[in-house]
Amino acid sequence: MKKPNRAALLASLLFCCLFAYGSETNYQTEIIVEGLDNPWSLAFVSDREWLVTERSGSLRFITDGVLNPEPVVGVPEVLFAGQGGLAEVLLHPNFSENKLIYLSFAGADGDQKKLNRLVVVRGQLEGNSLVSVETIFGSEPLRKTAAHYGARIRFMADGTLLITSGDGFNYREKAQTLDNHFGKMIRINDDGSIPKDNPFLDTPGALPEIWSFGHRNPQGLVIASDGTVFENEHGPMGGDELNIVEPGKNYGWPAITYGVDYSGAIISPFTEQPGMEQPIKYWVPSIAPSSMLLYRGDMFPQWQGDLLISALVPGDVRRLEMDGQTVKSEETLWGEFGRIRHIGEAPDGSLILVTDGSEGKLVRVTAIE
Amino acid sequence: MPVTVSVIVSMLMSDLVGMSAAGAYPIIVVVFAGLLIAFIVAFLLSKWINTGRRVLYALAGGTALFAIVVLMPLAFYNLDLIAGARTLWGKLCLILGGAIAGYYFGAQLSGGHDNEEA
Repeated sequence: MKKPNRAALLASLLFCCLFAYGSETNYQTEIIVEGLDNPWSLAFVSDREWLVTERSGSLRFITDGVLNPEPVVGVPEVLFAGQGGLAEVLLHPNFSENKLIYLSFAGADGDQKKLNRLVVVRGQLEGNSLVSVETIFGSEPLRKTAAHYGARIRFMADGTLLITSGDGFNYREKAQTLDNHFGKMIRINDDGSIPKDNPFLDTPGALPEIWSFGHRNPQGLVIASDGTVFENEHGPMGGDELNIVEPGKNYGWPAITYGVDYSGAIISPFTEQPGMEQPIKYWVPSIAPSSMLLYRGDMFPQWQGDLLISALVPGDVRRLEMDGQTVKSEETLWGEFGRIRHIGEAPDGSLILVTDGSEGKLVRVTAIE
Repeated sequence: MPVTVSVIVSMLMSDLVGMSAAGAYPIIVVVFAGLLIAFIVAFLLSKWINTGRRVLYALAGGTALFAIVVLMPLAFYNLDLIAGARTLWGKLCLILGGAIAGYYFGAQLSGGHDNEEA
């Protein structure tokens, strides 16, 4: 047998190493805030001032990387149990003028304390206080469970608000009917009124806020500059999905799914049905996608247009290179910080990872020059 | 797509296997453990209570399933971890199943006779 040429082997190895180095993105990570109690979401008021929600019910300012020990006053009482609590914080598109912020949370019912719902409020931020708080959405009917709220909010280009509403775990079949808010995406105006062009306005028995249905627990929501709505949702055991959501469409849960129940039982024998949309990507086993970002910054120009999805299991970020509405490739990043609850893009283009749990952290990812 | 008889049978078979071995929490093991505890308590009680074994074990089996489908969710934020137990009718069926299992077990122990008849 002919002996391999050592020089050729070494040259090949060197070439591969150089190629791999050249194709990598150089970045560094730094823990900038610690001691957060179950952080869930993050909003950037300015370069210097950020807002972070803690599921236990606090909204807190971070100024120049320092966590304000005093939470914002005036945040409504939340139900902090199971997966419930204070979730999203979102600035109004005209925040610089109207100072409006939006919060989503699990709230106990006023009359029946054992029951709760997903609530969305808006209020004006005045210093470290939230004033003129008004409820603009409350999910119906009430639920007894403290799980699967969805609770992500985003503004569309036309100024309307999309809200993800989860199936409440016990109520999954209701995701297929239009007389309730379980497993739906909701579209309302910024004051809570109903837009005149919602898809089910003229459907008898349907709630007029519903924009799409057949969702499980959608927690990632991105609206691209061309109006495309990307949504990711937790599947059961397997079957996490990335969808492109369009008004009036049915995304199938639980009639079709690529997952099985946590008990090992089959939820549905079908993965596709006529009239039900397919995900553009799904994960088996689950990654537990918790939030999603469409990267637009300048710090990592090679990632512009990519979707970055934070994942709770095992805990990392999935970078999806997109070709329009198709996923070209997937890369796993930052698996060393545990469960990642949220990913945000700071005004300077750096990435902020929000880790999950009672000792939550903010980790900043910056490019190395 | 239609749910045919073959789909139903296939799902039943898949559930028997899946719920025994493939789940994140093994429901079959939970039910086995629940019945084991209940039947040990029933055995001890049978030394002191002069009632039929079949009835006693039926009560034990029903109580075990009651604990699993009614009490256990209270520790998990009211999540019904067994999907079939999400409705009252489903809970009742499972509790009845536990009682029937206990009755059968008691009957086997007493060789077809209640202890006061033995």
